[in-house]
Amino acid sequence: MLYYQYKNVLFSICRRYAQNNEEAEDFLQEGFIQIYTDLYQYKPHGSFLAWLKTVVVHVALKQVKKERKKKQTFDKEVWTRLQQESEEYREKPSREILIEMIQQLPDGYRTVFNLYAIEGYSHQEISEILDISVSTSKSQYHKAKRTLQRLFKSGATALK
Amino acid sequence: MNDFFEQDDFEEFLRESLENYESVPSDSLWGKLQHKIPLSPTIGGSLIFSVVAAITVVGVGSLFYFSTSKVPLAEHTDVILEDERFARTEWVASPMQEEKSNIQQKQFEKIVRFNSISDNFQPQEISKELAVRSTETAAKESYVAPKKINNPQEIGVLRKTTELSRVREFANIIRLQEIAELPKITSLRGSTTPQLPVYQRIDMKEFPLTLPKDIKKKGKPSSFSFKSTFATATRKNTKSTLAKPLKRKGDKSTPIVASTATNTRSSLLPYLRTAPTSSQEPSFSGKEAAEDAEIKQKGMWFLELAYSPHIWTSLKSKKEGYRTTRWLEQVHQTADYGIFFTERRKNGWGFEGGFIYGSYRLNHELNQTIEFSYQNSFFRRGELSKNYAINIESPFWKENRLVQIRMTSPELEEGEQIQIRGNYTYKLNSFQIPAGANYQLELNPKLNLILQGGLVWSFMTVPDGSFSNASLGRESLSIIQVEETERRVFESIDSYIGLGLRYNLSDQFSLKVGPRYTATFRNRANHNEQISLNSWQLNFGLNYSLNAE
Repeated sequence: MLYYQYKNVLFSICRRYAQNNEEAEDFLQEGFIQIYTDLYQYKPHGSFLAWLKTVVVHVALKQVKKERKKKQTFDKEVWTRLQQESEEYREKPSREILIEMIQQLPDGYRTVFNLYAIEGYSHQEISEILDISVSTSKSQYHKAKRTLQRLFKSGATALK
Repeated sequence: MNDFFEQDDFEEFLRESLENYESVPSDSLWGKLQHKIPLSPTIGGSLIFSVVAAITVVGVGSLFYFSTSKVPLAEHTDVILEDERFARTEWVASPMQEEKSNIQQKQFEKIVRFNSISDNFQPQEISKELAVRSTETAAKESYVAPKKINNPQEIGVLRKTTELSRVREFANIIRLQEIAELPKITSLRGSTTPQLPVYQRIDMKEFPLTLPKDIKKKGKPSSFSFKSTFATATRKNTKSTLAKPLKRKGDKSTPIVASTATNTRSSLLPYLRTAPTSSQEPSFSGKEAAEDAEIKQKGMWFLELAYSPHIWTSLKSKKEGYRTTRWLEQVHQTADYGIFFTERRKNGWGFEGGFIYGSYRLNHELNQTIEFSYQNSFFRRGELSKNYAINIESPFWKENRLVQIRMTSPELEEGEQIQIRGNYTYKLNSFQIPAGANYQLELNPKLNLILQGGLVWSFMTVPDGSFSNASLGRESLSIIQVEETERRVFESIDSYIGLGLRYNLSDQFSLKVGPRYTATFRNRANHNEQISLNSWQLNFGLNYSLNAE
């Protein structure tokens, strides 16, 4: 069944765009509704999973645009988990920690970071998707990257 | 550590790490989702509700129709009201002189003559029904006497004119008025005047009728009809069924009876009377077989069991993909089974409605080429598996299905073509509720021509689909899973027209056969798909008359 086969992969994407797992589940729910609605319009030109991801990313972006009014606060639990990361991951963060770090980014940073670094969109495409300028997209991405760097450094320092 | 974020392959690392990374959402999410996605099984719930509602509406409608219909007997029996004076005069002239004294007691206000225009008429029974007293009293108060004029006819006695309300339920109340100035009949022998009196028939519909009010006070069991098909009776301290169906001696069939007896005060007796019919007995007015044959067709109801193989004409699929060429196979796989209630009225028009169910198996011969790619492949237990979306042309719409392919060794090169062949079988269920009108023309006493038309409320569900005989052209490849068809319901309003011949095997049974064309009149879009269920059907029906003797 479609849901059980892809829910984990798609949920992982939703987590990257959401501030927390509860919000990610909301994104996933909306994403599957969209998928089921559009399923019969799908043209099998490319990977089906890629199409699913595209749908979910667009739904997540839509939700982010709609709901972004909350003040960004750093999650203490994530901070604690960062500190508990083993030595093994001090050079490269684990995927789970990466996602949780991304979740801590401000909305604008996180969205641009996801689209550029992970989904592989160009800044030109991101500017069109998010209706921002190309320079803003680049700026947001670099700020996001620095923030992640700082977050991870803080966690690792705390570990020492 | 800081180097990691500054590395050139930072984005590539992230992409590889997170692209197919899986996180597990909470178990409750699917539960929430089920109620929101358009393909959820909740549609099935609404379908069941709709079907139950439709059955209820049709059932209640049919019951209402039957319960408000006239008892067929009323169409075959006249009750002639006569003034006491004239009746007594006639009575005196009758051979049963011993009854004369009773008539002359003047305990009655009206005398009625039962005048049957049907065969198997048993006036004694009607006399009993007319007399609302006990059987013994009724026998005393009703008189049966054959008369020489206008045979057959009987004389009954009404103690009160108000009791005509009961007569109304099983007979037409008329008055015969003698025509004083008779026209002369001119013939070769000259002009003559008829020797026998000639009567004019006058309907007595406006006769004031009320139910008797004093029945309960007298403590006698009363019986009167509700809507002609329900009789109730009340009596204190009885454990038996008070009301019993009347059965005429000439009845060939038993009335449909269901009754409940209580040990309190009342009992309810719904019953459906069958009507006597005739093509031989002369009617009162002297018209013979023709009129009675016409009467026979008044409000006749038939139960029809139908078998209707059909061929869809609105298939979306191409012929080479969908096996439309094997029409015999399709006919076999797409037969409907139905139960109809059809009516024939005196003027030839009638109503028809019922339920139709069909379960179909339709095959799609799949032959598609997919392009292999290692991208988004899943490695599990040393094997490589990958999902492909393939396009399957269903009978009425196009849709995509997921095919999961497993490879024992990743021997394929990126971009290599794979041929998928196999049969995809759809299982469809159809439920239809037709309602329409028909016109029936009697070609001869045995054969009727039927024209019919109406609307059909159709539901078609797609509960299942399966892939068989799949081949991928390489032994090292195998299809390990095809996603099951999502349950869907297509709802539409269709229109139909039909033509048929019905051959009467007996009074009860007849066979009907004829073509019917159904076309989608209006459908409800489901997942952006408009479907059309146009089809040619050949109906075979076995009819059972619910009214015939």
